[in-house]
Amino acid sequence: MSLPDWLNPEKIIPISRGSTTVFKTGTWSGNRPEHREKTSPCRAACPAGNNIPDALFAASQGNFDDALSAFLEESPLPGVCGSVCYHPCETYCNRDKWDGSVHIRTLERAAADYGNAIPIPLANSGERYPVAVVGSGPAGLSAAYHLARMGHPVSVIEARDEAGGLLRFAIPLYRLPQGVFQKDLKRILSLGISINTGEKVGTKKLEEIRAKSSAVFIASGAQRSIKAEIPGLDLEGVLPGLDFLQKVRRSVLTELPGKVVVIGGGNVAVDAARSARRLGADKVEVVCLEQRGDMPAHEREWSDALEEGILFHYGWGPKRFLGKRSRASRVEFAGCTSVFDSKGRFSPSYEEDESLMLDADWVILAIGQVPDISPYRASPLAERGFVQTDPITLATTWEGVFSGGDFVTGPRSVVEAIAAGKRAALSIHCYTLGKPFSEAEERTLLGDGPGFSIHSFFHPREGWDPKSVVRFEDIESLCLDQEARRSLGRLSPVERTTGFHEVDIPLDLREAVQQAGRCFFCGTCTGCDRCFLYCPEVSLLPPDENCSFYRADDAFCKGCAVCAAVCPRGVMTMGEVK
Amino acid sequence: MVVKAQSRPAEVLRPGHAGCPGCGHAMGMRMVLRALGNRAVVVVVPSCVAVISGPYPYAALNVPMFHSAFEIAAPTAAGISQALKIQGKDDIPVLAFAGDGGTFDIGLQSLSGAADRNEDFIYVCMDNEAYMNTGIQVSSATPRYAWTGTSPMGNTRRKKHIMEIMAAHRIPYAATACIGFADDLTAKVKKAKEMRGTRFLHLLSPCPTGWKMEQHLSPKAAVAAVETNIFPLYEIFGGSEYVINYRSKGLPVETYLSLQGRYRHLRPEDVKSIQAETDRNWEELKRRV
Amino acid sequence: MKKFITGNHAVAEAVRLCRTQIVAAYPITPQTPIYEKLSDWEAAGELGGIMMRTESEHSAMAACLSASLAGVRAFTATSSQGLALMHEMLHFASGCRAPVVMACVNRTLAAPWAFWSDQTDSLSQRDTGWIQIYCEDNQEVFDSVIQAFRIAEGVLLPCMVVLEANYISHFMEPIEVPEQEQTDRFLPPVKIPERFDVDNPSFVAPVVSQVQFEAFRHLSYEAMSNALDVIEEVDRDFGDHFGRNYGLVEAVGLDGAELALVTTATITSTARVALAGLREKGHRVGLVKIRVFRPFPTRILREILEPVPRVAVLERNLSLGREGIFCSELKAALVNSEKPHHVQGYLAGMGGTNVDPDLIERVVIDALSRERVSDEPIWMMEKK
Repeated sequence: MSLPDWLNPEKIIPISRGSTTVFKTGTWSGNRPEHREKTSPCRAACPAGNNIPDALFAASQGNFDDALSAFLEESPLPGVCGSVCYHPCETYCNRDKWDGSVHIRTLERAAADYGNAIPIPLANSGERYPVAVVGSGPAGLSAAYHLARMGHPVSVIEARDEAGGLLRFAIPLYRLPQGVFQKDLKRILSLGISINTGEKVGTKKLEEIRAKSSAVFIASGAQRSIKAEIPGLDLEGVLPGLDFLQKVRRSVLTELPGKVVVIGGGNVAVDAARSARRLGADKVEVVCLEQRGDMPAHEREWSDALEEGILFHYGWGPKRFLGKRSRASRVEFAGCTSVFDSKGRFSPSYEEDESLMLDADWVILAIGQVPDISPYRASPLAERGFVQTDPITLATTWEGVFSGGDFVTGPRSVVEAIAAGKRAALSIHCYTLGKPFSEAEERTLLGDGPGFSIHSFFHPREGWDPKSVVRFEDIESLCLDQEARRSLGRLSPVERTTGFHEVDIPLDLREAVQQAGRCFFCGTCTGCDRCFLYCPEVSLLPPDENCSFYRADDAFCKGCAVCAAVCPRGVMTMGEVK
Repeated sequence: MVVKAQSRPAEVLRPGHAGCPGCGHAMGMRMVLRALGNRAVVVVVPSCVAVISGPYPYAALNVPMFHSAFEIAAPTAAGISQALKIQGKDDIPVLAFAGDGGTFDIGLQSLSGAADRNEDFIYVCMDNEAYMNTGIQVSSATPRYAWTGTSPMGNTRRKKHIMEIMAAHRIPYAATACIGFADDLTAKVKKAKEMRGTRFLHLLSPCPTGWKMEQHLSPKAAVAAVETNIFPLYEIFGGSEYVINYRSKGLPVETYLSLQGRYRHLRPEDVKSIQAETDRNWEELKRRV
Repeated sequence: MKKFITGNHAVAEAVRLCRTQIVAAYPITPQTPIYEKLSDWEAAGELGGIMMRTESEHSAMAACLSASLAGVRAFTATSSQGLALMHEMLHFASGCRAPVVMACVNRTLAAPWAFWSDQTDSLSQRDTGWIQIYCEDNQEVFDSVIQAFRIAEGVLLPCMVVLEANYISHFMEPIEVPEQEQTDRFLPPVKIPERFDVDNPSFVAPVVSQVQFEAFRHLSYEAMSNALDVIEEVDRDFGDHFGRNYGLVEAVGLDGAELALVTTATITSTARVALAGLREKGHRVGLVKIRVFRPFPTRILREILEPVPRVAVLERNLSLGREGIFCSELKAALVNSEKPHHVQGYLAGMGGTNVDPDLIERVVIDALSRERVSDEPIWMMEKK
């Protein structure tokens, strides 16, 4: 028997069984959030364009394989950079404005130490073209690596008996342990790159190579030490800086008794002084033209040297080397009043009345290095006395020949060389395919450049605006934890100078995870779900099988922008209904 | 970065509800309910929560619920809870949502009665610090100096200390929580769910409309309330054992006040007085721990 | 089994026999003995259900109605101020169609403060949507509470059983109390909607629109109208089970009566004695007891009073600015009768003063002899 309405339990009182989803509250507002990934300032500052946020996020999850894989997207040398890079990334780190930047460089090293990864191929549907690379320093290796990832057959020609350039023969072991570089190198070579060592290249050889290859990249570095016209230069015991460092790396020099004077204010000079210290020199003094603070050497290297008992004399230029029985014994310096002329060109002027006399059993002259273009004297490359390239494409005036790194710019950092190699790789790829490089670069430029993402050219990252760099102001700082940057473990000055042990103690695994966790992951969605969870409308849809983004459900989103406000990455951004 | 799929608790709150854009209550309800799950009975009383819950014949909550009268969230929950026990459904928790008016003011007596009897339910006071549902009038949860429609020159009374009132009932569990600290809130709801007796949650949920601030600022204002010690996160077990859950950054109260239009009229000496009162309260709380 | 107990304890006995599952209450004179008796039984493990000692009548009704919506049998008892405090929740319980049963012990509403019988407290709840049954003696109170659960659960409306302070609440009378099994046969276990089902969730009592509100009110109206039949049927069935029943109204000696004296509650008992004497003296006067006030038994009252030209309504309550409330209700019920009636209101026993046979006799004589009916009630005041 059916109940009358007045007694029907379902009818006598209001009972809601429907869903409020019948109300399409999306019509309340035209504002909508967009999941728009952006570029982190660290990445924008990295010449190599390293994918730092992805790498550090993986590391923060204890996944160092993925962390390494992320670094390998843009650079073949994470171990090397993780050890020696001057880390502009950390300077621009947004966390620096909060409680100290993240230890990005050290974490790159941790990724190289603890991770295993095979570089992801750069999906290249085009044809394969043989490319030759001259020089196996960071620029050459970088170019070879990326070209090989694209599937191009690459052969590298190296003048020395081993690959690596300054990574192998200049940078002291206390900064870059041999095993770290070798691990990077092995990974690079695993891509099928052939390296012909002990083969010097000059104009004639280059012509041969050029004929067999679709393109050539010359990255011979800046390896010729500048020799100033100073009386006594040919005395025994006077060594050019790079030669000295190479002798140390080759174990030709294993001890250095007596007093050492290093002339120069750059990194090579400091490397030489600190190496000399480790070889047992009684006294090591560095003399440079610049005043303290103006030295081109990195601050950290300089302060390390001070700690290790190295003396610095600022504002002196070498006048002459004095010797006993053809061996150097003293160096006389004149007071330097200015290093550059009024037009900013290097042109030191001296106060002849002031002089400094130092005893020296060894004099290491590290006053600069320049590219050696003499082998190409008879080629179009040397027409102007230096190698001229297009700064964007790195193409030289000689068709099919590209050049970059220290060979073009003079001495720069490892990471800039890596950047040049990467640039050359993509430029050559475009050249062989007959496509303009500028378009490729434009698509992948990080922030204002010059760094770009080669990985994302081949594997476009959906929903990413590489030119947009996350500012500190874009992150809701109220939601941030306080966890100040910690100083990392280092050997004491005494421990350091007893040998060539690495000064910076690499992070242990637990510490690496912890330090990576400090990263804000600016501009990179890490799936933290805050935007999803805080949506008062339950209308922010999380990523699923069909879509890898957080996105608003247009039917219900009221455009309140809470999701954007709570995004700790600066990813969720307000736009309008499409 | 490709975000990996993750498992999420079922949502109890549905889209399409009538909350204002950026509503702190909706966020709070959502967080509380996904921690509670939908095998529970929910009581709502007149407040923005009830409005959000949906008009007949629609419901914004996928859970059995009852819209009771303003001042009786607690005895309503108690009645249902007792009835469920009689029916052998001991495993179904009952949770009541009431606003600050329904808790601090008109519902205080019935809440006190139920808490005194240690009735078995979770009571969530959704505190947006005024009668928002009726269009922003002062309640005893409105802080001093705050503008409302009935405190046009700024409220002259202090905010009632509801937590101490509840602690005085020696109920098993009382805790503060806010929408700015979702994990803390979730953990407290889950903890409360595992307990029996009267459990009280004082949940600060900023109201963009009533606090005269931009729509997206609710979570930020909640965080600021905690970080300035205006609304510390703590628990009280058995009415006497205090635990502070979060050591704030101790930011100046301006960080919080400046987000809100309801404090726009403050003079420097007012801010100073709020700071002094906040500091005093914070010291007092620390003494109780 | 016969028991010699007060009206309050009669209520308690009935509540226990009805296997009431939740009793939520708050003390107030003169209801408190109900609350205490049930507490005694709970303490002794003899109640069956549970007690909720709420901090107010308002919360008691909140708990009762929500428990009722959850599907259990709920009861409360109150008086006077307590009932007035409950007022909001009375509407709510009825609007939610929660079959809560309440015993209301009539007591004066302050001010002035007093503790004696006056029906104005329960009559003030006339429009809350509760069924109201006014009882004459302890047995009727007992029986009506048992009936109330079946009525309430049968029409899904709350039901109030009304007894007077002192005259019933605290007076002891012998009453017949059935065995539990007998009661169970009349009143089966509770079977009302369980509104909070986690497997089939719904939102009970959300906000409705104007049109929806009107429709729900209409259904409640229909339920209340149909309750008349249900009350009669339950009462008949009660008679079949227990040999006693009461009807919606009771008529005594109306055949050939010139005057019908209309009463409620305990005044009825006194009137029975007074009218017997008057009839012996030759006065043609009958008695009508109105037992069910809401829903108001309009049809049956009109039928039984149809041949009676004069009606006197004697009652212990007042709607200030009008008259006795039963009187007004009765006038409204008779207004569409074919033959007009002379209906005169009398107020007596206000504040719990005694209404003795002599007073009733004076009322009857006045009503029979009166040439003009007054629109104003006639106060039969006690002399100080």
